[in-house]
Amino acid sequence: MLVLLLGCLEAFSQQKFTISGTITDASNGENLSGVIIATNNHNYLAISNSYGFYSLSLPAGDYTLSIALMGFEKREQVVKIHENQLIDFSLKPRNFELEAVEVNGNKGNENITSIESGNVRISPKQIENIPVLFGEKDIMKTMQLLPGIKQSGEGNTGFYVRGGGIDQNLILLDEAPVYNTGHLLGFFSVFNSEAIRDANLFKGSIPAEFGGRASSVLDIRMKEGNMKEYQTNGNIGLISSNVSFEGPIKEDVSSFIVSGRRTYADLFLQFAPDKDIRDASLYFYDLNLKTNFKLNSTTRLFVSGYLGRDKFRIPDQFGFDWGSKTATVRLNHSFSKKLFSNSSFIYSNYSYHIDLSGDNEVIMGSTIQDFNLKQDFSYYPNTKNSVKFGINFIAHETVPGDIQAAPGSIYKSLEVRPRRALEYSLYLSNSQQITRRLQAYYGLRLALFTNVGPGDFYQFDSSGNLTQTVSYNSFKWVKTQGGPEPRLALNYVISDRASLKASYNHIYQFIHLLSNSTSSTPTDLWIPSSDNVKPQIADQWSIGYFHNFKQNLYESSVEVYYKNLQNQIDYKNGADLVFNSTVEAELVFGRGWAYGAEYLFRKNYGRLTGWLGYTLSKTMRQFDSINDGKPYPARQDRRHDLSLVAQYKLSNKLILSATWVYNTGNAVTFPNGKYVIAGRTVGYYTQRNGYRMPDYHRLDLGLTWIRRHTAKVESSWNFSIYNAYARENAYFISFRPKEDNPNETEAVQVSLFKFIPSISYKFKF
Amino acid sequence: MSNKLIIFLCFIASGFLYSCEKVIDYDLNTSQSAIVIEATVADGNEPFKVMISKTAPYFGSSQSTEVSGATVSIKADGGKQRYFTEVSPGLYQLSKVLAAKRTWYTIYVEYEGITYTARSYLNDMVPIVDCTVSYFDGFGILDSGYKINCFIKDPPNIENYYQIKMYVNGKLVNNEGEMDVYSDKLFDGKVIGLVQNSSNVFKESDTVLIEVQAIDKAAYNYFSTLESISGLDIIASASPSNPISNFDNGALGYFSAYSYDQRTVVISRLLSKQN
Repeated sequence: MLVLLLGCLEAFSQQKFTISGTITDASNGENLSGVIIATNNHNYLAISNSYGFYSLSLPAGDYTLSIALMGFEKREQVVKIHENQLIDFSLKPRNFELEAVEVNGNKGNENITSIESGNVRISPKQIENIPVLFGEKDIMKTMQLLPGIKQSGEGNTGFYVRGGGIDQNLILLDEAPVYNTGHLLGFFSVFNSEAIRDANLFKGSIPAEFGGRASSVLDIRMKEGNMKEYQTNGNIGLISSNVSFEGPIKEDVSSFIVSGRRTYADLFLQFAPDKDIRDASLYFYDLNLKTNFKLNSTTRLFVSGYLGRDKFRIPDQFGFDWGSKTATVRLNHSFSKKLFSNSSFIYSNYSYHIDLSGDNEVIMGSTIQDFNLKQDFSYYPNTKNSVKFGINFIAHETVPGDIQAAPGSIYKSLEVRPRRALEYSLYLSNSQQITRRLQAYYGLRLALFTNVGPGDFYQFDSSGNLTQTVSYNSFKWVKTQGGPEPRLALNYVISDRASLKASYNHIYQFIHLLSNSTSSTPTDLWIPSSDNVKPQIADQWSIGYFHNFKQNLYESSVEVYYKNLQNQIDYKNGADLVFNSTVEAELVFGRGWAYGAEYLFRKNYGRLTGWLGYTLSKTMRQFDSINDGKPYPARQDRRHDLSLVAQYKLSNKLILSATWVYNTGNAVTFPNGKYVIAGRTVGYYTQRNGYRMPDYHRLDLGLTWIRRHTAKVESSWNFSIYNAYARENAYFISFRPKEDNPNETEAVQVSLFKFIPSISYKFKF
Repeated sequence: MSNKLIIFLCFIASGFLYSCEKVIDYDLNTSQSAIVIEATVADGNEPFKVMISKTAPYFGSSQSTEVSGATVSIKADGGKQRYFTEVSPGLYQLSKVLAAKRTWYTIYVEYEGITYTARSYLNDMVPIVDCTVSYFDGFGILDSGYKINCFIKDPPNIENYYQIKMYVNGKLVNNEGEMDVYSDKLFDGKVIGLVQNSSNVFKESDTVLIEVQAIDKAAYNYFSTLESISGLDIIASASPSNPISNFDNGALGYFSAYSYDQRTVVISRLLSKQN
């Protein structure tokens, strides 16, 4: 790779110079990522990174540069290149009346020219008008409307990408990993869309700077805070409200943003007939804080933090709380016009507590905590190459369970010894324009994982009995696993409206989520790889054809993928996952594979905008000790998955939106017979995931009425209906004896949400 | 425990979030029938009992078919093999035999050419120290009434498992999806309060016979996994499967040898409600 890089550095003939700088939003100073800066003949092109930084090397001369990003007015600038220069640009947001729904934030044919395949970009503007449950705007729910990304069902926030498991998605908030992204059992996500600038989901070609999860990376960036003036945004809804306040600390030099969100679902509990429910507390909150400082023209410091918690308590009965805290400190510095550096220090903590008696006498809990140091460099040697390299070092500590008992309690305090591990990697990649039509991305990441002491490490025999416990002292390196991860992507541009892309990834995953329940629950347990648990390994190949019509008015694509998964984890029959220091003995290992085709058809401009996405896919698992060793469909194996999203601007004040989703059901395990034992009728199970849940489909409608929209003040009302034709989609199906005749049995379906209207009010001043 | 947690959460979530339940038609296949054996050996005067049946199609009016004509025998380690008599279809008994504590028992069931065996260890009796009655205020779908908690002194340094059976006014308390089984994992060697797990509540002047059984690990594993596939708990499990049986050759069911202590409590009004 180094040879190729050197070969590309043109050391002769025309002298080249580099311009670089930062691209910001003219209205509030926010950095803009994904902006395309190109010369008019398209010979030279650069894209701004997630900090708004770009670098473009050109031969000496005069050029007209166009700077463009969807949702902003395109800018043209004449530049004379005779020396290296620092040129910052700012773009004005497009006039509201002309603005259409932004389905991606990039120029017309970015989907043709970009090297990335299978990647999705979402901005809050996009989700503003899309109707969702209870009128709560949610970046994660909107993302699940795109092909290849499947929701895990009502009442769940997790998602499945191309047949992978729920834990195979790396979810980052300003580079800090978020372990549990759901509030209130997953009905809402922890991401307050008011505080978010944009989000990128990588499911196809995953760049080498990311690793640690087998199927995808969701990189969410928070807003920096308006650099120019104070601004208050808020949204008042039926179930929760959020408000954010941002502004400059010193105009154009530093700014801050504070956002908060809280639910008042507990107010509705007051109407319950039962006194215990009336006294119960049930709420969640999110708090996002961020500040940034331009220390000088080449250096910028960002400090951000997130704190969120769910609390549920019935006095004297039961209490349960869970939540995350993250903090990141990042320093950007441009060493030269061509070399950009980002150093980050990141802290992330997720914990939950269960109060078994509702009066704080005995509290059971678990925690996972990460300290992370990252150093990333972006180097732009010339216009044909974009090099990235860096290192990443994470110290993980998981406390699988501890019990705090009040003095005098019949229970005693206990702790399962924490597990400690180091996950460290280094990477090098280059994105190279090989010929005018062919662009290649190639990268190598070396990902390693070491269990370290102090801690207890267990050995088991083949039946899962504990044979040996070895205790190690501090800093003793116990076992190292991992290896090289090649990442490749190719883009062959057939014409300016069609291209062919391919990608290949090899990725290790070192920490795993153990969850044995149908709903993603906050008590799901994260465990590290070890002697007994090998890292998951994913290999994914994909190929896609992208084609735009009518001058990029319509975009379409079809992508086909195949994913191979090794060292997948499942549980022994009757596995005890709760508070079990030897939980590794409850696990069984096998393999998985998934393949499918994703179709996407989008219209980005005009009065009517939206998209149609369809995925045809299959995902299977095979474990020697499950289902008699025969392959069986994974729970998330849904053959067909379709989403239709449309927005229609009735007028400048009224926007109508609709979403229709349809998917065939999950694979589930149902009985193939029954018998009586210990006086009870139970099902006889012979097949894992041999049945299917009924088909799921739902229509959501929304209407946004913009009451006021001036330079200073904006306000709008949003009316939405979730599940407009009130279909009873099955949440689960169970089988039980009939009440009137216990000798007979029946199937019962429970569905969660029928017709749910809601109203919310949004304001900005 | 984690199952109870799920139930609470789902109940709260669905309780006021507009959910609904309806009976539906769902076609289930029927697999080849398997044999179901329920065998108990108790350290007391009652006969050793084995009940044998077969699985039946899920939707059908017959529960399961009794199996007649099987050959059932039992052997204590170091003892003679003794044969059971079929006293009624599917029910086999061996009377007038004393069970020995701290002994391994092996049961043999021979039917249609296949022999199914299981072993269970009959533990020492763990006496009941005390049984107390407390008033439960009721919550949501759970009624208010009296509940019984039993205290035992757990033998230290060995793994102990317990099951509690209650008979109210002569009738066995047997609710779908609830088993009162306990392990001493977190409480080894202490006086443990075995808090009533099941949602049943008792009324004033009920006569409750409480039986605390000292069971072995295999029986505890069986009953815990049985709990997770019966009643409400089944919704919590992503992949229900047959409870872990100590029988071989694919027989469903269990063999439990246990010793027990009993106490009778007559529920009378508490002078002051306990919290």
